[in-house]
Amino acid sequence: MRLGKLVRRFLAPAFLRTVIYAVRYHAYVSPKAEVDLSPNLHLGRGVSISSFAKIKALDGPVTIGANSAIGPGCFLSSGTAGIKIGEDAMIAASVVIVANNHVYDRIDLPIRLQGHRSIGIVIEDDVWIGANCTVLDGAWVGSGAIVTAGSVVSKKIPPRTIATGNPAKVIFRRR
Amino acid sequence: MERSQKDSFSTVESVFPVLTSLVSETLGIDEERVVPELSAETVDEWDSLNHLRLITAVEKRFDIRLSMEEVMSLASIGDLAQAVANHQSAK
Repeated sequence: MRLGKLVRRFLAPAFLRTVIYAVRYHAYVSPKAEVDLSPNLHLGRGVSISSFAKIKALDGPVTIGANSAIGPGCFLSSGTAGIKIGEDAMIAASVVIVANNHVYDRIDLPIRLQGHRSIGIVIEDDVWIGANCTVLDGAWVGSGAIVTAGSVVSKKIPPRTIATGNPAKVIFRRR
Repeated sequence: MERSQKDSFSTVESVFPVLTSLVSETLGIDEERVVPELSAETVDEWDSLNHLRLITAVEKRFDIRLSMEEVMSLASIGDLAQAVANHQSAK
């Protein structure tokens, strides 16, 4: 498994991944993006992944729906529970989406040795996540919601709302 | 009670004092600065997010729901007061 990870992460040339994802999913993955070549990654038709985005999908599923866009410099880490992004979602530049947390139940062990916990992240259809947002494990963003730039999402954002801040809170309901 | 509240907020003059404190609280500005001509162009604190915060606060306080067209077209506090009065009259 470790050898498989190494091969997929370091030995598959970037342009090859771009070609593979273009042929398999009709999706555009920039050759400058770092996207794991993994059976856990599922891209819808017309997905765009910009340069310098990094997607880690070796431990759990990452699904990105049709016509969604991942902006430059984004970082997505699936954890074991995974990340599900719906259709027509727009993830702006430098958004961090991490679907796992460190376990820190014990104080007699370094945190790095206590493993991880993963609940998973769901971002539904037609969501706009502003630049530099952070979406934490367990977050759920309802369809049509907007999260303003720089916000931190840790819980549920209801559909068709606009949320802002750290933690992100609803300030307006779209109509 | 509902009847009296409807009557009390059916004019711009009756809405404005309540609106003044809401605007002051939401935008973080002194109540003395809140005049009908106050607009996003004249107040730095009135950005797009605070505009939405203000609308949500006003809707909650006056128990009304503005349309998206109204939300986007409101250019000044006077416009907002007029919209609130119109909705209260139509209740």
